[in-house]
Amino acid sequence: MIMRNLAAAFAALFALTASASATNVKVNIGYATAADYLPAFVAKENGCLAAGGIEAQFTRIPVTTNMPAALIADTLQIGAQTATLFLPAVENGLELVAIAGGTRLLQGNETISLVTSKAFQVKRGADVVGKKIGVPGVNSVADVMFRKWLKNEGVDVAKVQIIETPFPQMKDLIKSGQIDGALAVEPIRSFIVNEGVGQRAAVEYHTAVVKDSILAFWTASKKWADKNPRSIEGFRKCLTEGIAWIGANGDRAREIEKQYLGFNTPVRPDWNVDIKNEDFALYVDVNLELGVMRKRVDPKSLVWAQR
Amino acid sequence: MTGTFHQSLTAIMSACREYAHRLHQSLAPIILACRRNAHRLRSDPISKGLAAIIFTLLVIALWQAAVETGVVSRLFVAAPSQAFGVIVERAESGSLWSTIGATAQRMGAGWIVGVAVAMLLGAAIGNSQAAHQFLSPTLEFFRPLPASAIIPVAVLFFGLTAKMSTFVIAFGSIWPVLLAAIHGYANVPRELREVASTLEMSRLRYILVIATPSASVDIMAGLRISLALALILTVVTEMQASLPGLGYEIFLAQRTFRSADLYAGLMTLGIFGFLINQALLLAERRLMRWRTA
Repeated sequence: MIMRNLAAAFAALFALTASASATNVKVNIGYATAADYLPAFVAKENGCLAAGGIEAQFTRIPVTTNMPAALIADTLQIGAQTATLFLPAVENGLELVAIAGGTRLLQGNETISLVTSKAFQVKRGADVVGKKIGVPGVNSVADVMFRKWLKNEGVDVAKVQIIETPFPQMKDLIKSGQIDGALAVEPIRSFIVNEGVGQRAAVEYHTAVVKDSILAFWTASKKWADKNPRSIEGFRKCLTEGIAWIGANGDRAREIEKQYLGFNTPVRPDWNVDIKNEDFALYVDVNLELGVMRKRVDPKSLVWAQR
Repeated sequence: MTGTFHQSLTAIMSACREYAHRLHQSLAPIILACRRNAHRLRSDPISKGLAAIIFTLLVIALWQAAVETGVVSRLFVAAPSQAFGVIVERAESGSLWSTIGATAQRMGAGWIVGVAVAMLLGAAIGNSQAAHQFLSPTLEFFRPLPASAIIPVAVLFFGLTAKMSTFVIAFGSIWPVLLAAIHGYANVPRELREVASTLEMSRLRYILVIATPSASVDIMAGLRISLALALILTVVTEMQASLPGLGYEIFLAQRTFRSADLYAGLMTLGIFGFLINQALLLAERRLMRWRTA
């Protein structure tokens, strides 16, 4: 009798663990070094992802242009991207979909700006003619929108020398005079300004082009997304909860940010989990105009929707 | 029973021998023709060239087939037909020539500087025991440094500019020519040195008239190696500093996931490298005709 009961207990325990591991999905999440992704870190630390059956592991990706290939190769299952990286990848046949929003760039709360040496002030596009401007990546959203702004200002982009400059090097390169300015994201922007190395331009180039636009968002391969709809719904739900939690638990949120990024940003981005196909329309037009893309992509296929 | 088995086996073996003999008789002319062709191939430059072209076409055909049949993904490996299409398109628009021109100019400037420095140092070290003792240990320290490792230092001094690129290319180009020049100058035949001594030639005249032509075979070999290195470093520095050229085109193609453009860039680079090497070989044959006279 005792043995029978013990056997039943073990069988039940085994069934419980087996079913738990059967529903847990291992998800490797790639992210860049930016506060845009804090809600996801919070979702992991607070156990929301685990409760939703997502066994999440975060991997920092120094070169974000590797993100699309990593998603297709299934090295990452979810990856953070921006539109100017995502759209050319989709255009050239990589089957990627946006699964959740990350941040929006709103006028009045710009988290990325042009900073220049104190030798000159930028009030309009013509002020950067003949200058060397560091961009975080060729064809990054910062670079593309900067070039769009220059075009809008009537400036020939060829007259501005655009140089790829990793964020950590921007301050030193401005200080040594090797570049005249850079498109710096927080907290690099604050480091440059607060240490007296440079100053923010008088005009915010990105919001001068568009006052409200999607900035960072989460993507996955279409193949993985179609196989894991519950994980995507769980991820979105946890991001929404994470944003609310950050608002109420500022100090603990800063600790988590420091843990994942190695620093704290003084400016909080505008997090937003909502994402629609229409959010990409502007970037498609700009990419086409600047030659980053050569043909339009099907707008209905960009954001994953459960069938 | 055993006897019958033995007879059957003997009959089978006899038939096999007969068959092998007839097969050898049929194949013998073919084997002889192949041997004659192989010998002609070794000695006939036109046949050698044709063989190289056939092999290249075969590789391209296999590559095309691999992409068409899905053995390799089109996303990451473009078909050669697509890559050629991009090259033709760029040639028609004119952008191909300006891109090649920018790379050639950058490479040429760095290579010439590197070769000039290498020849001067090589002549000094190869002809002077004192120069050898003073300079060689320091040069041996710098020689094993990969030229690409110098890039961060070059960026600090010159920034992300064309000067940085020229410096790195020159630094990388020096070593093959320097080593070849040292060897060439140090091994001038004794008879030629005695002629210079008999004619009471000055050191400079000896170097220009006797030692340099004697060392030219070694120097030319060094030049070909350094030219290939110069091209590699040109592409790397173009990618690093976003300088216009073939390297930057390949870098941009990778960033925008345009695999056809990427492979077009690689093919253009390969063809360009082949052509400049052929140009150097032609120059060698012309300049050193006296060697075979």
